[in-house]
Amino acid sequence: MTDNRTSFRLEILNRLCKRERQQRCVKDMFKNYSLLDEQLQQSHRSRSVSVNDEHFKGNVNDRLAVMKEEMANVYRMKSKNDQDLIDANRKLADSESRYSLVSSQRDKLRIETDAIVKKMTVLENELAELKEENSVINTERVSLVATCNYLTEKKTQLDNERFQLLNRIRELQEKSAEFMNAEIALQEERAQMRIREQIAKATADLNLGDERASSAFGTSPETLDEFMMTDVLPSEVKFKLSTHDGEVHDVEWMSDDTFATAGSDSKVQIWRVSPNKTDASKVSTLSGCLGPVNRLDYDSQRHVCLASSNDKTCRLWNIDSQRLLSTFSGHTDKVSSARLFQSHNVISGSADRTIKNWDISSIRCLKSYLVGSTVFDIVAKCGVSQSSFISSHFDKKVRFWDARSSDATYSVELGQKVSSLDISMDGLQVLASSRDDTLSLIDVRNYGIIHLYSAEQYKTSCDSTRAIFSSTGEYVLAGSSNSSVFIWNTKTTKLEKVVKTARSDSAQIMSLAWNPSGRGLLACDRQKTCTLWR
Amino acid sequence: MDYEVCRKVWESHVPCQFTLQSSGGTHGEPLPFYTMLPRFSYLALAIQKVLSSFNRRDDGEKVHSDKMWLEHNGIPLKMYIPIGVIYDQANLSENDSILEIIVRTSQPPPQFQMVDRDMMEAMFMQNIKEADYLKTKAEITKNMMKDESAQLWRSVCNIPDNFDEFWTIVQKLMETSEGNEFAHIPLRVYVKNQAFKQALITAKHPDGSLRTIGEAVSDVLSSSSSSSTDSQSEHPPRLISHGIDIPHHTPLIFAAKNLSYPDNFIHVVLLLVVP
Repeated sequence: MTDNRTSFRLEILNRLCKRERQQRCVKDMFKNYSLLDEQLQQSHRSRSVSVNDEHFKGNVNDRLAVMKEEMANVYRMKSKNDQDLIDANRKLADSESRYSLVSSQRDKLRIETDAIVKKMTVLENELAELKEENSVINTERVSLVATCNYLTEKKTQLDNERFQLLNRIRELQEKSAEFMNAEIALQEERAQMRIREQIAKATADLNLGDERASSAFGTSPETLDEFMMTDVLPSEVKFKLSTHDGEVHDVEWMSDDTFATAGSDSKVQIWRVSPNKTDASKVSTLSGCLGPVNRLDYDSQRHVCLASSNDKTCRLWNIDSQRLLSTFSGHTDKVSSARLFQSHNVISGSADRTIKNWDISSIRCLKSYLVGSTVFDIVAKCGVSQSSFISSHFDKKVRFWDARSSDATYSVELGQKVSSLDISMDGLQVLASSRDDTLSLIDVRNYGIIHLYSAEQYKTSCDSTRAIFSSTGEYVLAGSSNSSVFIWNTKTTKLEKVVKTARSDSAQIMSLAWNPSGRGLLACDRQKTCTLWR
Repeated sequence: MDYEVCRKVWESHVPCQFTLQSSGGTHGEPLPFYTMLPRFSYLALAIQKVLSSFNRRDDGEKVHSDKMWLEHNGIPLKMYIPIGVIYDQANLSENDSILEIIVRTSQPPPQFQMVDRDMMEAMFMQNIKEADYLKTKAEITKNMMKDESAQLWRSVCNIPDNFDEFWTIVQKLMETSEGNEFAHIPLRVYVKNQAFKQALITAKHPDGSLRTIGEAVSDVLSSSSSSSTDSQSEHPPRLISHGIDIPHHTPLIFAAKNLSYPDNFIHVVLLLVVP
């Protein structure tokens, strides 16, 4: 079996070997053939390359030109690309810097936002607290409103009571004034009686037969009074006189027995009081004004009279000859007040808010002072300096001036617009009447308000109402809107006396004048009337 | 397994001549291409190299693999049959000559089947499975890794370099043990001008003695046709495989293990002896 197996195996192997041997020459040949084929291919390839080279050389110049052109194109493209690249780089740098800027800003803003948010929370807390407080306060307020209502009711009740009481007080005061007047009259009578008794005793003692002397003493107690150097309070109405057709704006004593009045009928009239003081007769009329006359002034010798008028002028007359001396025109609105100033000047204040200084001889405006507020009254001959004057204004101020400077040196503000001024005899105090129903006594030297005068029923009547000193300055007096004149003691500010021109309250007292002798008070009102008291 | 026989069978090549006969060549036909092809390889794998050598020409039509067909002696060739079998069939009369193959670019006849590399691989794998099914009911291929069968194909593609690789895989496929012997032997018998014949052939006779390859071939022929019975009685035909006559008394199991092609079939070309 093993022989059999090896035999077929050997047979197969032998046959395979034999076949291989037979094929060997063919195999070698094929191997060489493939080598040759490869070499042939290689040489063929290299030849084809060289052939291609020759083929290209012919049109190499054309190709070169084309290539050059392409090259140029490529260079152009390259330069363009370079430019683009540079631009892009620049843009990139720009945007980077912008980005960094923006981011830094953003950081900053973020910090700010944080701070604000923090602040906001704090504020919200505060707000909550405040709301709480507010609610507390609100409840309090409600309760307070309730109490307030209750109190208001109470107040109205009390007000009513107060009005009743006030009326009673007024009645009582009037009564007491009457009583006081009666008492003063009584005292005076008693003093006269005592003097008379003493005189009688003295005459009885010394010279019982000297009748002339005794008659002289006995018959003229009034003449005795005229030489008293004190101001005597008026006690009775001597006469009433209808002086002008319309309102009487100002009144001034020219001498002991002559006086001048100015009225809305454009006239200034001079009157003389009869010796028994019970009547007065017209002496002369100074005419020339074209509008109502507001204020009068006169020189110290009483030769000339100065009137300021609504016709925007000031006029100066000789009293004796009744001749119009000069007219000062230049204001653009009514002249509310004019005064003789220094020796030959006139100072005038107007509603056109200026003050003008005039020279009398040349009738020329020397200087204008721009005030800026309507002038109600002006006074001169005050203070230590001849060139100073004082004006009162709509804007509640009393201005103190020096004629040489164009601005006010000082101003004092009162409670309301200041309607009139009056200067004391020594020129050191000025009395200002204000529309808040008070009189103020102002020191000219230190501009301090010394005293205030007021009374329950005292009401100023209009913007030109005038308050004055008595002739020696012992009293200050002012006319009220209810036809009464109120007299205060200058030093004590006590209300000394109230006199009435009429029983009705209708007559508004416009101006007052105290006789230079110390006895005799003239008052003019809006109803044509001048009244003299002694 | 017989290493020596296997090695010799593995290394055996056949000489081939390819001639291009294109339909409309203006510059004349190129020279024929000569090459040695391994017996274990397939025309589907070799054709690409042949065509590239033709296409190296500067001018003339390029020959594409999908627009040509192969012919030998006026008969279209089957590209999926191992080259060794084709050679054995072609050179039945004249020994040791060159296998002449004509490459035509005309319209291929319907008998010709173009097979490319991927199709060839699929057919190869199919053959391996079929052979294994016959031998062991596909026990081995079932357990084989996918890359092991791929490895076998790769070694077939690279003949004659990767014999060791081929050897390890083939050993697995051909292994037998005492209780686990081949049920049937995959054997294909080629008769001239006929399709191959195949039948269920056991390795041993029912009495336990080994069946020889001669007996096996006659069994196949008798089972497939009745006409061969008379020819068998006169002269036993020559059994050609791998270019040699296989002795009739070679045991079938030995042939299966050592003379099989890589697709695990024994391809035997039958050459009738003319008296």
